[in-house]
Amino acid sequence: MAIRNELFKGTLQTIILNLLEENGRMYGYEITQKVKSVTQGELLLKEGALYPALHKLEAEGLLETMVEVVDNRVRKYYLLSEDGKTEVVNKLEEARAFINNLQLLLNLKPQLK
Amino acid sequence: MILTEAQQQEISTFIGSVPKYQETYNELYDHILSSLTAMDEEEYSIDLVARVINEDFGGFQTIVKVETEFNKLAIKNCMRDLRQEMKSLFYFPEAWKTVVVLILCSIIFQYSPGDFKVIRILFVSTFIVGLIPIGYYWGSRLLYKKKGSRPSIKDNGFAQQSLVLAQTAYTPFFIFVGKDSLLPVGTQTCLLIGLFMIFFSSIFVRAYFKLYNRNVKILRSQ
Repeated sequence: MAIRNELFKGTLQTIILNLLEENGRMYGYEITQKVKSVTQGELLLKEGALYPALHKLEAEGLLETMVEVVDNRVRKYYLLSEDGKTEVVNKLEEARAFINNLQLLLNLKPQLK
Repeated sequence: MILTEAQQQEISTFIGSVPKYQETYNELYDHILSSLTAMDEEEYSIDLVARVINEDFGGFQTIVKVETEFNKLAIKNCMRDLRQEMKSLFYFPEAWKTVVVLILCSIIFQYSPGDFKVIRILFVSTFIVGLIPIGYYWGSRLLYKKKGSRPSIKDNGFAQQSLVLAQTAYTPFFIFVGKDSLLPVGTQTCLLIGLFMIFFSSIFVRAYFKLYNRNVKILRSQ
């Protein structure tokens, strides 16, 4: 069952920060494909949502960028800044607390501990 | 699929006029090419490129909308970077130059004859220094245009920054020093304000040059 994108809009920044923490540096297309493969196609991160989120995180100083020429074209990589490394811990804790509360509210059996 | 050079050129021309800025173009172009390269079962056509743009990006209109938002963030970012750069001039090794300017200002304050002649020179110098970032920015941008490249998304931020010093340099003059000043103060205070403006201008210009040159270097490497 495909998950509606509205459901993960609020956690998009957390997802991006967590992916960058795990993978070091990533470029836009790579992030969309990673989300697709990890969720086995259940979540499709659209570029129209991804890039504004990346730009916002960059403006907030949580991400740094670097460019590299790959196959004769410029590729922009995103990576966590020092502030981003701290923020990802807070965001993950916040997301876990939210999921726990959501499980209580929806009377779901805890599956992950 | 493996894209030929002609196909890559066709994609570049197809998206060419939509993004206004180099950074948006680079990101869009790389994304489309990465996406097409990963498609093994499809055959290349410009309709396929249009489909990728519509399905993944929400069409050209969304790209323009995202770019406009990115531009606003880039201006904000630019101002933040300048403030950080200015702060960094108070830490070693850059702080040495700052200390030298501060010592020079202290010497002028100490040994100045205390007349308006010195104050006038200080304020005129500040006005002139205030024009340097404007000249530097536009001169450098003209060189860019000759190279036929798109403007950087940071250009608007740098253009706004280049005006900051010229705008602020006039303010204390009209408030404290000018003929019809709003808040006339004594000669020594005027001298102190003038020296502060010189010190502030030196910090601003150094930070602006450092930041702008670093950005130009990145753009030229692309």
